[in-house]
Amino acid sequence: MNELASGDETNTDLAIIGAGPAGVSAARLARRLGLQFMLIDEQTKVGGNVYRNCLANLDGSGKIAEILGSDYRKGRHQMAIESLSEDNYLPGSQIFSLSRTGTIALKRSGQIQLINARKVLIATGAVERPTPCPGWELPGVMSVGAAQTLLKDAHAIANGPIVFAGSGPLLFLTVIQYLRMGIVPAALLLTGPYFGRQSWLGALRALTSHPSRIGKGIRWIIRTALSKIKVYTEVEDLRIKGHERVGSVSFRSRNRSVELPAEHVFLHEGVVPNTALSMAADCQHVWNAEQVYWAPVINDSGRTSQLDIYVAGDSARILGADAAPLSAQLAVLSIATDLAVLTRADMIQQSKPLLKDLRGEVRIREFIDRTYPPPVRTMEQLPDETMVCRCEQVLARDIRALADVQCTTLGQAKAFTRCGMGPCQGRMCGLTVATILAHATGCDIESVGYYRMRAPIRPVSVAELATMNSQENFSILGLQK
Amino acid sequence: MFSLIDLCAANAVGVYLDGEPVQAPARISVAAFLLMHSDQPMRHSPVNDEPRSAFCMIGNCYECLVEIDGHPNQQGCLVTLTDQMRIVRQLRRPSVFSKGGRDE
Repeated sequence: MNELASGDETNTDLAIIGAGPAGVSAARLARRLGLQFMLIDEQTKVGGNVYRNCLANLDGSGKIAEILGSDYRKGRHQMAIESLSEDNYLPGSQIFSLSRTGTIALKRSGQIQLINARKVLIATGAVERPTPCPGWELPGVMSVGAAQTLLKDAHAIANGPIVFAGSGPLLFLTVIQYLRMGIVPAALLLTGPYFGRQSWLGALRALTSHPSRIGKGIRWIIRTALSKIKVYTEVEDLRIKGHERVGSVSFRSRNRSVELPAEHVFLHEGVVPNTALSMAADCQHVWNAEQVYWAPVINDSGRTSQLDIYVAGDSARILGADAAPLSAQLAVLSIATDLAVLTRADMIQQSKPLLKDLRGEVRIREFIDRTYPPPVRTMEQLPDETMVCRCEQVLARDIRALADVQCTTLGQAKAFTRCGMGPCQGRMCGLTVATILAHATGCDIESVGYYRMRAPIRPVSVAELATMNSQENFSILGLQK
Repeated sequence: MFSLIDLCAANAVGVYLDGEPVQAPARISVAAFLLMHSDQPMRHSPVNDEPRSAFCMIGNCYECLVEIDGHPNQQGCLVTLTDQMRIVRQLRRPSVFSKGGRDE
């Protein structure tokens, strides 16, 4: 790694955090409007997760492009951006602090850099909902997103009997991608019903407004059903077994007990907004009870309760890759108006078509949400021995026991059990622990709350911090302002 | 384990895994490399020595923590392999005080 150097400070009009479909679209519009911007990304290439490594994968031989599918191929246009340079693009950068007034502290190749941005647009996308079950901590168990990442980045596929389990479009997509490669997974375990809980009217509305997308979903379901993969529905009581790594899975399907050998298990129960940065910057958040996640409170342009901080894409609300550029552009239009680069009248006029298209995206998302509801009951009823906090190895029974000591908030649960205190800072346990605690105490989940995200929200060593002068130290740790 | 589908020409880099020289595809993450190299866990949890490996591959779960070029607890899924990189898995070390188990 490079030698540690003292902090470097840069000023910019707009810091865009995340180089997925929302972030890249924001950068393109910012450039067109003449805004000075800095596109900051943790990864080394643009694409986010949905279009991960797309510029390399879509260039040249068509095989990987065929396997990954038509949605992925949209990345060719979505991720096209010219003239990114050291002046406006910081790949491989982990942000560990974001102040409410737009001061960003990040780590890049062992060096600390500070960005003072007049406006910040958080576009860090979604993360998968944690999917605990007994044995999920064993090596060989991964999220479906991990299977996708390995395929897109490393062109790597899992060996041995593979079991897919859970619910949601991403689960089906990954199974289809494996089938396209001629690999038949051992089994597909559906924890939700095959076609979801859907009113006929709702289904008809979605089909008429977005026929190609619903058609695609139906084709995936049919292809899966016609392949040799064993599909189990109404799966309950999923347990993963093994000694030093996965060996088998056991579950109940329609009241029949099943046990299957497995070398890899891929889990998925939908995605939720990545709120680490918006919470770290003290933005107000609201509990989305239907989709069971916390989301930043935003106006139509994505402005949060902190006036200089905006959120776009899945970090604001799960609407998918096609909606991301729309909300990103709405945000940049509003930011440009804040910075007096655009008149309010122009902003309103240019926002109109974007808002209309966004409403269409919301309708299709509502259909998907109803088809694949979050597994609240499963989470509430997780077996006592389930390791809900992987980092600190806190079990479901430890959380349930907190009801006896009048512990009613997530913060208190953290103090009592250490859940949320490990390296992941609650990213893998927060939603689960909150659900179990709410259920055990009878409190509603809003009052149970969430972990208090404080800088540093990514690991940074004392040695790295010590290279900065004390003025910078205080401000990035949030002790000033 | 994971295998490569040979869809792209992957230039090899030479890295060190737990002190041993190994050839690895270029431009993949440390975590991906470890998943393709063997079924061994990436680390043992410091809480009670349980074997752990990558779960999310996107930097969210903090399970793929390995030592890279002398720096401990690096998220292997966020670091790309480079030539001569020294990767050390954070496995439980036998204690001098016990017969191969963990000390108290």
